[in-house]
Amino acid sequence: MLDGFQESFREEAYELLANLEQSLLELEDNPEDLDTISAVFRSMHTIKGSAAMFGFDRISEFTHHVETMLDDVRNGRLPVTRSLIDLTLTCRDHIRHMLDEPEDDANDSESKRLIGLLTEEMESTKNAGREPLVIDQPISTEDIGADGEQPEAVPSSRAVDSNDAGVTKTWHISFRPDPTLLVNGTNPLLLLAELHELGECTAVADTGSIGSLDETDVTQAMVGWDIFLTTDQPRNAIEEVFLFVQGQCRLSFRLVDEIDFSDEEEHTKRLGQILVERGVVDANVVERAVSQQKRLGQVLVNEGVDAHEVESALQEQEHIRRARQRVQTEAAAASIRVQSEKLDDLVDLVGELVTLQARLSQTVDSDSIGGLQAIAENFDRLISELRDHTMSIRMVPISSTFSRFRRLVRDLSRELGKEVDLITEGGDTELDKTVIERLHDPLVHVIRNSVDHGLENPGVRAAAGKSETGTVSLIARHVGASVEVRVVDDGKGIDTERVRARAVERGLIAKDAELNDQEVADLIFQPGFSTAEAVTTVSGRGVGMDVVRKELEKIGGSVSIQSCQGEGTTIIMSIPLTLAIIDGLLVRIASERFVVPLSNVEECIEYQGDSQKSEVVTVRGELLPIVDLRREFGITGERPDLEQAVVVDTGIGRVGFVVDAVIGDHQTVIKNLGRLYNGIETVSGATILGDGSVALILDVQRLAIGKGHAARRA
Amino acid sequence: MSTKVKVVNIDGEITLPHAESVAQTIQKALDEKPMVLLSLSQARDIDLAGIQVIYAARRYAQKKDRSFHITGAVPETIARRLHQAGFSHGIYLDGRDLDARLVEFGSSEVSHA
Repeated sequence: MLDGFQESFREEAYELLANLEQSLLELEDNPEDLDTISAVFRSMHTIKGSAAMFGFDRISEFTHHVETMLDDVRNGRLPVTRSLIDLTLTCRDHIRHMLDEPEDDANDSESKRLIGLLTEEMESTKNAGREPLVIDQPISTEDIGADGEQPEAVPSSRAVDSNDAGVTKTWHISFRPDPTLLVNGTNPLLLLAELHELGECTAVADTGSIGSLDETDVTQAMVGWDIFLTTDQPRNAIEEVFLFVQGQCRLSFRLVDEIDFSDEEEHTKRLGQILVERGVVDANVVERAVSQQKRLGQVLVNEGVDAHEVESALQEQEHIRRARQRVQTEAAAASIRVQSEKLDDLVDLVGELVTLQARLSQTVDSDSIGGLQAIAENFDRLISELRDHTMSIRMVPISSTFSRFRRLVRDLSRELGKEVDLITEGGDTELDKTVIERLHDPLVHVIRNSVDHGLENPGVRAAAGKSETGTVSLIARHVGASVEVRVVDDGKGIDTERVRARAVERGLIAKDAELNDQEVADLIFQPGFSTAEAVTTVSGRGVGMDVVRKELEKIGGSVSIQSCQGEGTTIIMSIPLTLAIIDGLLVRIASERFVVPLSNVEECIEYQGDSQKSEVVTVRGELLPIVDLRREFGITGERPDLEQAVVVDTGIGRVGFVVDAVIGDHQTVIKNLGRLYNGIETVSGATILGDGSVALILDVQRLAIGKGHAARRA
Repeated sequence: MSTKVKVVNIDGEITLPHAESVAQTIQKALDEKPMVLLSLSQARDIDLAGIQVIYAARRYAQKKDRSFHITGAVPETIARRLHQAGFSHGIYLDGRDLDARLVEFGSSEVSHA
């Protein structure tokens, strides 16, 4: 049983693992990208630290081994190879499994196996003597020392420095200008100003060398600096500031702090520790000073320790404390994690408000209460804004889903021996979190189909004059109140002859049925349809596209296909922005009211036919099937002399829904009907109207399919 | 103003080209008077040479058993530059505050411990 903290860790770990996967795939494309190597290492490091903190010891222990290998990569000791990426991805999957199934008996043996592989990978690569990543060693400013004095130890090579771009670190820079620096035309204060632009900077001037006026040449530089710079810039960016004073100063860099959010607690060094590390005092001197129960700095100065060194150490301590606080505050302010249940509750409350507002507007309209009209209008505006803002909180960019498919396509292409590029566009398009989650499975089906059935083998592609590498594009964009997601491949397209033959074979269409290419292509959405010669683990079980359509319909979406033989296939999925509130068209039959999703409505016409007898209506010369809602829902009573037909695009064709009257548009807060009504397919939910009564929301696709007819749009 | 005090007013820049002449002016004033006050209120800019002049003047005064202090308003440009370059831990716009808080200016006291 997981407690709340462990559950939080798991949520965080899932995100980290998703980022890790993404970074590994990027690394595969750019094996020399040091930023990505660093990102991979950081993700693993954070998972390890957090796992240990929340009691997932097995994960922490296993991750430690992966981290060791990645550390070698980060330090340029191991090259990034395909096998290394494969192995790290497998380790990532294993960590995910350990999170999902912490009690699985097989976890330990799998960990052991993978640790063995990690060791092998490290040994074999090193023994093979392969060259590490190409990293130029820059001219180090540590070599600048004018008087041959050895600079302070610098902790890392360039490889590590550049890797750490984006990681917030604090550097202690010791800058001691030569006396001639000023007369040579350099203003060191400007260098300090430049450093301030790189991050949070504290300078401590050492004025100890400035003598009395009568014995000092004030045109000679006599001041040195200890500078503490907290920055996410790489070290070479700091070095560049001092580029023009090379040979005119002594300069050294020392890494004194690295802000790592996986650390359980802050490790702010004590003053004595800093001074001992700098070699200014011995530890026993500090111990003795501490025992005096007085201010340590003052005691040390009184004991003859250089006042500047003490001041500098104090400033280092204060600087790091301040920098950590600032970075952590910024990180905390950037985003907050909110349980989705709380958001659901908020959306529900806003939904109630919207309903109440509709009721208020209706009351004001009917009662004509003076002065209340303006208040109701303002209330209406505010509620609309509140609704939009609340809904936007639930919106997440679709890129979070897109990024998962990189791994899928990578693995599929390996499995099928195809070269595939995945291109994504419009990743910043936002959708309701719930919608995005439910979009995942349909997208998996479609992408699998594209890679398996759509794209040809490299040899076939080459023979057809195409690039051997196929392309699958995921493209998202806003279209009205919906988001359209297209999966486009440049494969062989739908073989309409084969589809038609298979459809006839399965009895889906008559042998002599007259269907155009589009209608034939649409047959792949029929249940159980598949043209795959063999059932593969990838696809070809004949369930894919049918499932896609059903899943999309469940979230109020639709799917269609465009294909051109030899050029490729495009699957177009249209998804509502949110599942919570929709714009609807309110209609009436007798005293019952229903809501038709407005995004589906094309037009409303007067219906003069006899809906009890006729099955079609003529709209500007086009015959459309009709659904008589009065009959469908068993509503008794007299029909009006003139009925209305609401023409709806159901995604699989146009249908006219016959109603008594069209009332108007209505902001519809969707309420579930509850388990008792689960079996009713023709309604997708209900909404509460302004007068407190309930209106059912029609599932227009189901109603059209149920009738077994829909007119294909020309 | 007491005849024991002389105010040296910096009008313009206290930078490398002017550093030596300012240094001479202050040294002369300290030789003549037991207390010299340096006013930076009319100063437009300062560089390391100028800062060194102020420190060297203070040390000369201590050596000669004289008093040397900063007084009056401090232009923000000057106060900011002193802070950025690590000579003060804050931006002090009052001369007396700056005088009391310039790093290693007055005594061997450390800022806090």
